[in-house]
Amino acid sequence: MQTASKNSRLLEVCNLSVMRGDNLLIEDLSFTLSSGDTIWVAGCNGIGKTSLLKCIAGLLRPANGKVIWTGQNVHKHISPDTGYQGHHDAHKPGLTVLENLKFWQAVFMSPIAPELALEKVGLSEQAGLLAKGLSAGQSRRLSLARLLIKQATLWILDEPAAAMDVKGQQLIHSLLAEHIAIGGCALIASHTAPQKIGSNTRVLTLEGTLNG
Amino acid sequence: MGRLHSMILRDIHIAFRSGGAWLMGLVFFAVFLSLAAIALGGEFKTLRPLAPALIWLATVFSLLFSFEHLFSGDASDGSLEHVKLSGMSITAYVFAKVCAHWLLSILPLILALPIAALLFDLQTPILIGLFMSMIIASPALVCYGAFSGACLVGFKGGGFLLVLLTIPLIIPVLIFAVSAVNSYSDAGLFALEFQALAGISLIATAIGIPAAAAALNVMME
Amino acid sequence: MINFLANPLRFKKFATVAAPLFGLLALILISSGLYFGLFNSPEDQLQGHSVRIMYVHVPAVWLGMAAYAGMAVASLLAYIWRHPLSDELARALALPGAAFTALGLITGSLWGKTSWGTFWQWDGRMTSTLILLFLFIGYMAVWASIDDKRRAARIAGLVAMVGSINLPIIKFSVDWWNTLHQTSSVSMPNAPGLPGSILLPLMLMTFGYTFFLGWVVLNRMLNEIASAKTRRKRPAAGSISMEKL
Repeated sequence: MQTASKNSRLLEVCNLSVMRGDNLLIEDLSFTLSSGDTIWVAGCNGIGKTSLLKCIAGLLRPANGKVIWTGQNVHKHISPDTGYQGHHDAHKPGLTVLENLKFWQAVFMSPIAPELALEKVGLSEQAGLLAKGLSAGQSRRLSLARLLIKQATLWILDEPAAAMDVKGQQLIHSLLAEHIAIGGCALIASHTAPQKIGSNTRVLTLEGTLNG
Repeated sequence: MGRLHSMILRDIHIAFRSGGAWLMGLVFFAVFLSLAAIALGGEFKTLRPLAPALIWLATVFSLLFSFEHLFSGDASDGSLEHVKLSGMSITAYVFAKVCAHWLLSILPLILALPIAALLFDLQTPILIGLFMSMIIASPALVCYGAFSGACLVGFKGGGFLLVLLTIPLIIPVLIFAVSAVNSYSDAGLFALEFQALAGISLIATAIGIPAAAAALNVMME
Repeated sequence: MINFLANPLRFKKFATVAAPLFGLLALILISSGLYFGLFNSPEDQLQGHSVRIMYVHVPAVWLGMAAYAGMAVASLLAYIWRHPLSDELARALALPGAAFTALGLITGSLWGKTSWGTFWQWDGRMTSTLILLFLFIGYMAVWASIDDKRRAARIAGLVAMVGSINLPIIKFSVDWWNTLHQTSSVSMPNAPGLPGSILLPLMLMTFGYTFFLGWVVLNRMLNEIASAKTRRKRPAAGSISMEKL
């Protein structure tokens, strides 16, 4: 993670419009994220939270507007400094927990040892287990481990607490708190009640009727 | 370099752990050739001149149905998104997938060629011609197949559209590969057929891989 | 001119005027081409009157190839400039191009019956034309199979571009294969030194087909633009609010 100074503007979303198929979900949205900021994205199912998060990550093209991370348009050059957790866990069932992480460590070119990440999320005992043997909650923890390995400044999390038990949710909270404390920032879509993390937590609420 | 390496190793690992599913192509190859020999009467006199064509047909068919799943795994479970977010270029990713696919699908066939030669009582020059043509032409097959596979990622309608898209691109390869096998005994690797094959493979790799990457990017958007 | 027509409104005006004009020109050119070809051109020494099929067959094959080339160019323009009209142009060219190619195959088959004695021969031209038909069908199938039409346009464009780069390779390999294995088929007289009585109907038919293609393509594009307007639903997005926690 880049050692960002507090209060430096990292993410700028400018007049963003997001479509899914023929539906306009988000229109003309603008906001900024600085180091240490958290934004919770709230709204009912299907309103566009996932599409918005994907767009900001650089995975979905916007219908209009720009997303700029440290001065670069993410749709021209996607930023590797973004840690993403979507609805799919993306673990290969045929590989063990450790093998899955080792692969991502190589792809992310990260110095963090997978074993350390496993320890942090409480999966050390499952290191040699094939990923297909993991429960839904454990699978999510593995995704968190991958997130830790990536060492990204911006965390974009889509329903991180889904399938998590109470302990799991506490884990997420503590990881988030740590991340924010060292200067990272986060964008989280969640159905659970937003919690205050760090000194600047905001809630972005998407409302409206869904047509078609 | 490390990323490519890891990507290729991962695919091979997954294939080995899948319990033999990756060998289906080889099985089809063997079955096709056996059926062909039986249907054609089993006499070496008839089979020998037809062998290069039959072996190449067996290769093409055994490959064609493997491209459907080349990218669908990573695309559907979200791995492709993480790869894109890692900063790794999708072109490099496609190159790695193509290499792994070659190792898993083509290499077994190449290694099985001596047995195919046995089935059809082929002389050594023909066998070497087969080896050479396979090695030179296989990149074209894999790259064009990867392109079609990338275009149809997530398409549930079955592999036939993929076959339809790939066949016109593969016909030149088939034409030159089969003739090359026979001309090896006359002109060795300097035969026109081998040169044409090498040229086609080069073009296929140069176009197919970036085009597949472009298609994947479209499918991810 | 491309820039001029790139504006959808201007294109619509142009097309509404040009389409019937092209249609009329096509009618005139094709009828006169057929007249000259059927009544005013010499018969072949070997084939007799049946050589006249060439006036329908040869331009059809040419137009099929031209349509594919047009599709590839339109796809390239669409890929670089992301202009929706280019996508529509490529898509509009596909079916008529396939139809011309099929016409080429059918007339080629009929012509073959009179000169080879069979309805089909695996010669260079027939084989290449057949492969071209497969290329067209594959392209149209891509448009039909991908639900998101924006995505379909991008993917179909890639398919057309890769296919078009392969066309010369396919042609080269099939011609080479043909000389190796088949005896050369009976075909039209050689181009340099074609007498005017043959050249005239051939050119008339070719231009007639071209205007016919233009007429069909412009109409298809106009139809697509009209139906896209009624199809597009952009419901107003709901409200967005940001509050500090």
